[in-house]
Amino acid sequence: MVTPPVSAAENMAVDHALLRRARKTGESVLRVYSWREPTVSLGRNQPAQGAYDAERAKELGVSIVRRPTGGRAVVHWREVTYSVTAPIRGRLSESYVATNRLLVNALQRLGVDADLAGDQTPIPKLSTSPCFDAAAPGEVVARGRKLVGSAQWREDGATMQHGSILIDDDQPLLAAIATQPTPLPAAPATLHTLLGRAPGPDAIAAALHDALDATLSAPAEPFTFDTETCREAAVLRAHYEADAWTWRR
Amino acid sequence: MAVIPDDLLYTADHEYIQLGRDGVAQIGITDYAQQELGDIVYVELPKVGAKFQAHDVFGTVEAVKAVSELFSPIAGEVVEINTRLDKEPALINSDPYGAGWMLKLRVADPKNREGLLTAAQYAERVGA
Repeated sequence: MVTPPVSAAENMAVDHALLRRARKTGESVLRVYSWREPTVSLGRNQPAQGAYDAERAKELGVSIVRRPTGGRAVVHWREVTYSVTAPIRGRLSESYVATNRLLVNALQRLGVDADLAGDQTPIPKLSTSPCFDAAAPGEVVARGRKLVGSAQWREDGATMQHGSILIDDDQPLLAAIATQPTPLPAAPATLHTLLGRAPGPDAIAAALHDALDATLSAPAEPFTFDTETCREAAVLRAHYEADAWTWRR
Repeated sequence: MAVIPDDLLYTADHEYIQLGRDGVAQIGITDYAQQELGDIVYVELPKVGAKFQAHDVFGTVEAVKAVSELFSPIAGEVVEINTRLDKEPALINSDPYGAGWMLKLRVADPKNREGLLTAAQYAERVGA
């Protein structure tokens, strides 16, 4: 499913509602989406109070939202975000690897020499440093740099993984809204630098769809929102809009 | 191979519970769960005095890339939390049944063990 750009809170609410739907129906959904305005998404548990200047972000037209998933801050703008919501079947660790392999397959279809970071990759600490500063074991990398930042949430029999596939590098925006002078992180890998062209969101979504079909015994079916999922997302949006959630740490 | 001590009870959500004679139970996540999660970087625990029913969410644990919810195995009131985990969450990886315990709960009804699994039942469930 490809959804049009919406607000930061709405994007998180839709993913959350799809997670609940996966638990109830046992069905999995791959969603590909983008954002209505440049957005910083914070990791569920990362420190943010005093680290980012909300007023400065507003002046720059940047939204800030806190994800339900772990990890560190990501700037979403010239990128594509994916989410996979599914019931948990089998071992907990397998779904993370399976989704990342799907991403590698899709990126290879676009012509990118993508791979998964090895198990010996150092473990990044939970901090205000950007998500794309360093890859964790099993994440998608290209030419030794992180290309896709992903995080997962497991809740009562269902799992949701979402992540950002960079077309161009907007991550320095994090330094622009930081309250303390922050050195710019090393540039991540982007599709533009790797391919010499910037594929659009539709091309990336098509590659993901083809990669998904290649892993399934039957073609994936188009998804249409049902009334209950829409209603759940509308309720959850208020949670993701609330300062009490965004600035909880 | 995950360690599953015989003297503990377990949940299908991978928490363990050690019931004490004083009516206080020690709760954490199993060795199998910490292996599945990988390196744990943060734990969110409730405040002392919080009350839970069985299967209520009492917190979250964040591994390198995954956040998982934590479910209370039994009804009761929190009497102590493991404050060491705030700075040393990796204790859950290194010693899940010892220094990596998460909270102590005054159990509402120590005789009610509905939904809890023995070590053998839990081992069968996780294929250990």
